[in-house]
Amino acid sequence: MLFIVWSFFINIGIFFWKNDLERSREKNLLQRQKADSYGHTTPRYDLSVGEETANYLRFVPDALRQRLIILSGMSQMYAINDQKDEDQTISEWMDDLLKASGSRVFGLAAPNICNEEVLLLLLAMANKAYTKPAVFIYGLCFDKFRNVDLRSSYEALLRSEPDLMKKWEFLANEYRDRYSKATDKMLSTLKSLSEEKKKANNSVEKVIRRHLSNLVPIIGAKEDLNAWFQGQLYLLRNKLFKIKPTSKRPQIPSRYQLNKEFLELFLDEAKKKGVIPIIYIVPLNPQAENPYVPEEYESFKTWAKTLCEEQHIPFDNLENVVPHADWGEFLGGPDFKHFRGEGHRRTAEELVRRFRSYFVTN
Amino acid sequence: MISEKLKEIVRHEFDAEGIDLNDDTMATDVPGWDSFSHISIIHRVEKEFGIRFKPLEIISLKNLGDLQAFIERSASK
Amino acid sequence: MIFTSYTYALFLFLVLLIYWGISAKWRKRFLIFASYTFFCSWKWQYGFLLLGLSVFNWAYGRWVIKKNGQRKYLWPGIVVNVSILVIFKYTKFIVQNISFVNVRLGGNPFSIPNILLPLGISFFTFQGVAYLVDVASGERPFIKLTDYLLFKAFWPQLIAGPIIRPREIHDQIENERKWSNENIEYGLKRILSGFFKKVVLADNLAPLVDAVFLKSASPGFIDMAAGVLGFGLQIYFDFSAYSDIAIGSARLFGYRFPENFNWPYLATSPREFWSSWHMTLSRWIRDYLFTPLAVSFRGAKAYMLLAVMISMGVCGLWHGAAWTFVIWGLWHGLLLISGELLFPQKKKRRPSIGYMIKYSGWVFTMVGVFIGWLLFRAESIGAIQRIFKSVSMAPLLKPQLMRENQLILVATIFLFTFFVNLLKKLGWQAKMRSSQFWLEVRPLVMPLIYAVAVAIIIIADTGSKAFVYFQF
Repeated sequence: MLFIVWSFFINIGIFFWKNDLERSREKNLLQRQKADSYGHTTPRYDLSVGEETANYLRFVPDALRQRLIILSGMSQMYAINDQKDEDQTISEWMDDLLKASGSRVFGLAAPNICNEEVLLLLLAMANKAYTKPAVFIYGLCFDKFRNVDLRSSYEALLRSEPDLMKKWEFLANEYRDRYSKATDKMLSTLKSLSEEKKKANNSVEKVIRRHLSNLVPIIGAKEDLNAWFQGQLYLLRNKLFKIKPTSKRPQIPSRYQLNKEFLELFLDEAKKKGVIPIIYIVPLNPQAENPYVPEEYESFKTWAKTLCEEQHIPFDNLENVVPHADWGEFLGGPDFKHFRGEGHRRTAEELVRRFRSYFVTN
Repeated sequence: MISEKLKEIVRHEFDAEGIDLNDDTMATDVPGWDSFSHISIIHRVEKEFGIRFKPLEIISLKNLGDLQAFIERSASK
Repeated sequence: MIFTSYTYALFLFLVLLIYWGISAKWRKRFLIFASYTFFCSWKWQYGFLLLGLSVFNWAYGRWVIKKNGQRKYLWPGIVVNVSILVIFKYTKFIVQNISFVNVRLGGNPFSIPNILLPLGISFFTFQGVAYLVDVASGERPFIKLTDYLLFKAFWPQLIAGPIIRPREIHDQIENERKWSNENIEYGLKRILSGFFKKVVLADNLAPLVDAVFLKSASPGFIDMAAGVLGFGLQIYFDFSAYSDIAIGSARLFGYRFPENFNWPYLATSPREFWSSWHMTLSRWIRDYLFTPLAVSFRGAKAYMLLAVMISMGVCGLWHGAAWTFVIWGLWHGLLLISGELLFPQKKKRRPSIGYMIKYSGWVFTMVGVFIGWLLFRAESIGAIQRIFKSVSMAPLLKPQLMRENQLILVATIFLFTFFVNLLKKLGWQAKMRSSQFWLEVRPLVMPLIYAVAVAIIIIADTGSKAFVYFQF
């Protein structure tokens, strides 16, 4: 029937469109380079930016042989505006600065990362002696406190290691009284993972999907197509509701609470495991309007500072360390949270300067 | 053949004067015939014809023709 | 295997090929074999339960009831079916409640047994009861065991209905099914529709609904409203999708199943809602529970109300072994009763007043039904209290939990499906379908629409929650 003809055409179209789609998806993730084309240099951060993190864990420097420092946060950690060949990301600059002193830095950032995800990263790294960091740096970005849930590759990471899942559950029960929201969310994450396991663990289904992905273009490209479609919806939404990058986005109370608890849990657990957590407020473009409600942002910074001071956790506010010239543009205006190559270098230098005593063992 | 009395009972229940009712008419053919109307009609039939239904007997009635036949059978007892 | 999986598509394809390939006399037996394979793909041990119950019901219907006349022989058969359901589904619930009472009286809590629930047990036990009662009331029983086995185990209706009455399928099972292009086309369209509803609509609503009902969530009023609306849509799409795939799958083999849904969210009274929601279940409740009760309670209107409440309470309990389901059922009982009083069905009215009453009836029904969904979805009475507390403490119109995208998603899906079905009900779809333009364009456009629908289904099926990889 004609149905088959139409389907055939759609698939042909998608086959040719695939490469474009992949590239546009990487662009949206602000990925610097194609994830699997790192060539001869060993990756010094998760190039997949949260899409295939498990594949990059093998590049984490051996924690047993040197002092390992993890840098985590959102897209500012790896996105470079107006990228030039010699540009590097924050974690790579830091690695260059500290290598001689026997410390190595590895970046584990992902776009729109939320605090539940950072907790997972900490636990996953600390789970094995050769990836357990001495220091875990997390750059706080206020608008990420609007996000919740683990992304699929992080879920896959959790699901792939049964003892990590057990530790996750144990942790949730341990902190149940102190962090009721966060622990409840952790348990619900676990629940949905075990349900997924039951569904997708059907090996027949997996085999069929793998073969179909290779044979049928649309099935192979569905992740990219989905991302493209979501992107279009996102643009439509912005148009309809006149939302610009500078439109004020207030915090969503329930999610904000949840993220706060996760951060506190993260700090407690890091200390317990003998990992030094370092918290900093990420640099913002001084001449760009940000979408934060000023009172909310101020109270957020105060909260973070107080929290760290009370628990003697290294903390600093790096909001203003990158001058306006080192930032780039976004959607026709100044980008308020992604900088150029210079910005990465400056931030790295500031972090090393302010927290050197934790990075280097004398 | 559906008696006029029975037709009138059904028509009254659904306020539908013009509806065509014959031996093969089933509950699903009449819009709005649901559990409540069912009971309502049963009650009225019991009252008007002086008979009593047993639950199993109601289930066996597939259409109006069955109902009519049942009424006639019970009336002759 | 789940209906909405590539595995099922493969299974269906293979079974279809073989079925129409082999000679007619082997087809029924093959379908039985395929059905048991399908059922045992979850847990093979339960295949024996299904087989045992099937043989029992068939034998009981054929000999005990038929030969020995009605009622007193009917009850043991019903008890066997219901006991199996109770043992597997309600033991834990019963023990929990007895333990609760015991603790209140100063005793120790009992250990709660954990019995794994065989899939579809609520359906095939209810179907068993229906079969025995129908046979006792004069229906022709299945003479051949293979016919009965097929009736009971035919996989499209095994796990989640529709609950089929023997008279609807007896002739179809006894007589040979013939290939028909129409059936294949219809079946595939129905299955496609089911996949679309489940993968694209229900599964995308699920995460947002879950977020509202999470224990750690603090929803405000808007969040709760979105969650409840979202859940009402989710459960409708989910369930009607399963029915679509069931009906479509059966049609591929030449079997016609009864319908289960008729766009219930256009109902203008609770009564009408139950005539369009899970129709085969409400039919079961009506024929085997409500009518017998109401007729036995003949006379006082109050007793009829009691019959309604009991029936709906059981209906609620059937959905799940928890008090929230019972409360949901009773709530619907109250809705039905008050709906009858406020919006009586008959009485001729002036058209304008008629419209007003219909409209207010719709609002009343929708509010009632969706409050019901809140009761249904909340995991416990404590959860309902928690949600209300959280809502009362937050500002009325500010979302505490949802992002705009999610609110927009729920609203869009609701409005879209509402209008499409409203137009259908008002007859516009039929008018458009018969227009000259459509008749000419149809053969070219419909296959494209189907191809696009399949594409959308494939794209929407991306595992866990959708993520927008943007800067904010």
